[in-house]
Amino acid sequence: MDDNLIKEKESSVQTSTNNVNNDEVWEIIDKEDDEDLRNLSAAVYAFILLVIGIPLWWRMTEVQRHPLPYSQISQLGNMDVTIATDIFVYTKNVSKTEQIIQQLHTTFNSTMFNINAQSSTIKNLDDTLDKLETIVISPLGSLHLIETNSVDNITAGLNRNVYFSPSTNIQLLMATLKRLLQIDALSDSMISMLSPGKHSDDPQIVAERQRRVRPSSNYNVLLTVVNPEPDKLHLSWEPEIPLNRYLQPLLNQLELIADFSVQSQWLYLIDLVQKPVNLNSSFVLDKNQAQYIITPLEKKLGSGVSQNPCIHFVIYVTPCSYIPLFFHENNQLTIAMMSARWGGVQFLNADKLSCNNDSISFVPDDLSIMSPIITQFHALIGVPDMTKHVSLMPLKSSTLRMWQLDSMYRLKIIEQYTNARITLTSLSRLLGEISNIVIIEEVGKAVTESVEAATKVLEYLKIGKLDAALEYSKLAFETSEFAFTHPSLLALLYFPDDQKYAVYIPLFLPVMIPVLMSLKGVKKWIQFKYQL
Amino acid sequence: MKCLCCLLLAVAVSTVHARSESYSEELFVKPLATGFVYSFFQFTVVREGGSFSHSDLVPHSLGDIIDRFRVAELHIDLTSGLWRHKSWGYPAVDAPSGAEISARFHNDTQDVNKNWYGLTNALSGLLCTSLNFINSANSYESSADRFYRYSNLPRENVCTENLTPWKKLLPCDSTRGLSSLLNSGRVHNANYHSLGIHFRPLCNNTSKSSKYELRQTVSLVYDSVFISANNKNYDWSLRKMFGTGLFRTCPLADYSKIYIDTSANNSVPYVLSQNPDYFLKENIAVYNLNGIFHLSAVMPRPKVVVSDLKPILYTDRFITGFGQEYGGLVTRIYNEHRLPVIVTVIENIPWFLPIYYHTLRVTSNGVCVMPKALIYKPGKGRMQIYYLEIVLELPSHSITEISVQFDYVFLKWQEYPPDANHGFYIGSAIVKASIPRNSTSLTFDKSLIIDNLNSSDSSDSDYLIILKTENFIITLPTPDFSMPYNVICLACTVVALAFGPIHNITTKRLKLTTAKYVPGLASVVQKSYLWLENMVCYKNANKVGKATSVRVFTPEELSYHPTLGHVSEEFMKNQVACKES
Repeated sequence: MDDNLIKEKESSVQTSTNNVNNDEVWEIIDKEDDEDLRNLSAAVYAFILLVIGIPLWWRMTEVQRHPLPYSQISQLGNMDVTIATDIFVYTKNVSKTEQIIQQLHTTFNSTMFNINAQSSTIKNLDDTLDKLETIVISPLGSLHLIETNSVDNITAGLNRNVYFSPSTNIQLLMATLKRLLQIDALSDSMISMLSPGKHSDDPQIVAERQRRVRPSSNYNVLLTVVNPEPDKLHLSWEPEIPLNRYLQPLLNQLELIADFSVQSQWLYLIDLVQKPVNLNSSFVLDKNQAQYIITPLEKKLGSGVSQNPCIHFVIYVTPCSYIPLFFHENNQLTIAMMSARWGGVQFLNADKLSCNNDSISFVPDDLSIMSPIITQFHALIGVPDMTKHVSLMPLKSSTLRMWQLDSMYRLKIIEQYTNARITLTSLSRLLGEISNIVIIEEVGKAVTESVEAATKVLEYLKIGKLDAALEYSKLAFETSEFAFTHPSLLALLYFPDDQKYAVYIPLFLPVMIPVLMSLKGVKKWIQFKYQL
Repeated sequence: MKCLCCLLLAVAVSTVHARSESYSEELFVKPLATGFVYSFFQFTVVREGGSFSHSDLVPHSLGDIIDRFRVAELHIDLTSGLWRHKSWGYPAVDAPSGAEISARFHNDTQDVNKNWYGLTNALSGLLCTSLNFINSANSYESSADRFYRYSNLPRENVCTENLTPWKKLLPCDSTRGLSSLLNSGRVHNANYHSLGIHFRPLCNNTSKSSKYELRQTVSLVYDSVFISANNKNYDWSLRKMFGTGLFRTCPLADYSKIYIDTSANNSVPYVLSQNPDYFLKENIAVYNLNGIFHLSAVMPRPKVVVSDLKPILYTDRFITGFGQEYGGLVTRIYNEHRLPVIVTVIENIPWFLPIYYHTLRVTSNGVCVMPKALIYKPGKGRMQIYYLEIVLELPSHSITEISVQFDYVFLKWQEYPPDANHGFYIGSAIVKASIPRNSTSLTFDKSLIIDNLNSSDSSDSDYLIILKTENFIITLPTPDFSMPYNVICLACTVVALAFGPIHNITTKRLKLTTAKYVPGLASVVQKSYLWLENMVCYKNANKVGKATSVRVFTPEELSYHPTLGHVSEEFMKNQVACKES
């Protein structure tokens, strides 16, 4: 026992005394050891996790984003809109023609119009206006200036002709042309959309713009007849017939701009919430009270199925106790009121005879009901009111004059193009700011298509093809709206990045710490291996 | 001149087009045998012409939906409560509890499914119901008609938010006429209430133009004992049932009538507060409404309940089996007629209740019966229901039982509804049969109630009845819903725990080195550990009761030990002595 103990002690003393030798022994063991293998495996761990694992994880948790033409979208903002327009000038005097052409070029030089003025080829000069209307046919988008003795001042025809008397001042003619081509209205609608708050100086143009319904390629037109007292007053009227007769031709003319679906309904027993004032045996409501008539109606008007904007026309049959009822506006009594971007309300005053009389039913006059509706419809879709600036040849039906239709086209093209451009720009900005937005292939394609269509709009405007430009502007508008409002954009918005990390950190942190720590040893080993 | 011509023409045309819509309001009240009072409201618009873009009495919102989705026929019922066929007879409109919708589309419809989902979505907005939850997994198309779709949502709660938009569809809203009786507070007090919208084309042989009928119906069953707060009588009155009387009729209605079925008067004589305008078929009292109207009935409680005319066909449905492994579904059809009756039974079982077709048994009074026809479309998980259509001939005075076994399945965790432990509702089966007209007291297959009541057609011609069975609830295996998060956490921990040692073993090696004093944190920890140990020892010693003298060293007395740090000289000496000895 003692011997053993002593031997052990001797050896322990030996080890303690031979410390230096011991370290050498360990170093030898270390070198014989599978050090290469261990360091290699540490390096492989690091390689798999850092080089393969993390990029793979990153790729897999990445938000799906179809590539978008960002550069083209930003280019759209730099491109100018130029509308090529032919203007044919006819005067009896060649030098005057030249002078007008010259004047045209200088006047329209700095606008978005690129005027291609030329002298007209027509020969007959002493015809009446009606004859001229039928003879002179100009292509879409152009105008014909004709000097004739049949008019006293500047008169716009039913087609694309503008007549002026020989004594007309050229500057006045130019100002009128500016109005007819809606230079201010076009730039105003563009400016107000691109930089909200800015607008034209002309209050009429601003008011007209604010009245227009929001751009869309489909509209519903809903005529509502409200009869609050069906027990007292019988009405014999079918709205379908006057709508087809007076409104439908106009809608057919506008078919390139948008599709309108016309509907009508009757509502009963809805009280006129406002109490009219009795004024010389007629009843009067202030025009500001129209909104209080509309609001209770509103909840019963729409169907809610259609996504398209709806233009409402309400015909409120006056209750027997308030006949005749008018709106009071600017010291005038009217039966119709327009509500901007919404539609119009008008009172239908029945004759006193049919009130409380079961045997007689009141038959309203179609034309007197429809004419305010048509006027309101013009204002709502954006037909400019030119009566202050130029005398117009009277219309034979409810359809638009050709030059009016042209300016409607231009307005819609500009409106839809600008809208598409704004939508695309904000979409691309939004995507830049919020990294969680998903862009599926469908949306990506729609954006590309929209950008291409918007570029085509500019190209066609440059060569003056209004119909093609309108078609493409509609396409650009629709596809950009489709892309911007696609529900898939919102798919991942509720899952922010920090939550993503919170889920993965319990896994990554314990795994990464040993791997990263081992990198130090690996580095040393590499240095030892290749430098010594 | 031109204008005047236009005007004249317009006048001429408008007079030619007389109003092509007619509207009527009717209320049918029938005291039921066991003290319940059944009241059935019907608001009917009959219209000529197919398009609804210009409508007068048909609500524009509904007309727009019908037009847009090319609907030829539409039936919606929103019901709460169960109609008891055995004691109450047949209702005017049979509806299962919950929401039920069926539609037939025009024959030229391109994509029927798209229209069907569009329709249900639009209607869910219109009526504030959850019809938008209808998808391919809970609707079926008829085996005979490609353009027909049916679905029911048995879990749907019917409440005021459905009644209000429903009333808005009426031409007089709820301001005038019979609809002013429908106060949401009272309606939802009823033992059974069902709102319905029924749109269908009418067969019309006389004229070529198409005719459509839109009926809005309300069925209410009140317990007269409950509403009269009197246990002895079966009294009822309009005010007790609806909380109000009638004040003004709807000026747009061609008819505004109330009918009271007094056929129970033979067994239980009762008194109506007003004399009717006239009687139809001797026992139906008819009141023409104009102006203020109130009606009440005094009705003593009968000593013996005599049911007037027992229904010849009624159903029962229940589930069998126990636990959550196997279950069975039994539908019983009772035929009390003296003749055999041919019925069609349609079972629509959701995909999460897979049935075993080979276990399908049809027995009648204990004897196996061969179905006359059988159509079975197996379901598909998450895609399609199990559709079973059986045509049977029920022997006279028989009880026929259709039974089939099913499995309970596990769902994906996202497929469970909120409150999953409440269970899953299984919709009703449909039993269709043609019964002789004279075997039921009332028939309701014509547009107006009065035409139905007036029909002298008491011959043996057939009357189609559609019975809806009970719904039931089953409990599917329900998981713990915090499980996914727990699994993520647990899996991460396990992976992390496993990874550390594996990484260490493969990249590091244990090696023996001599201990060195490391100044800093390690030594401090070590010292505090020793100090703690001393404390514990001291305490233990105290406990035993031995007082050990502890000597406190001054720093000068302490010397340095390679592993323990500063220790007393005495300790060092001992150590050295140990080594040396």
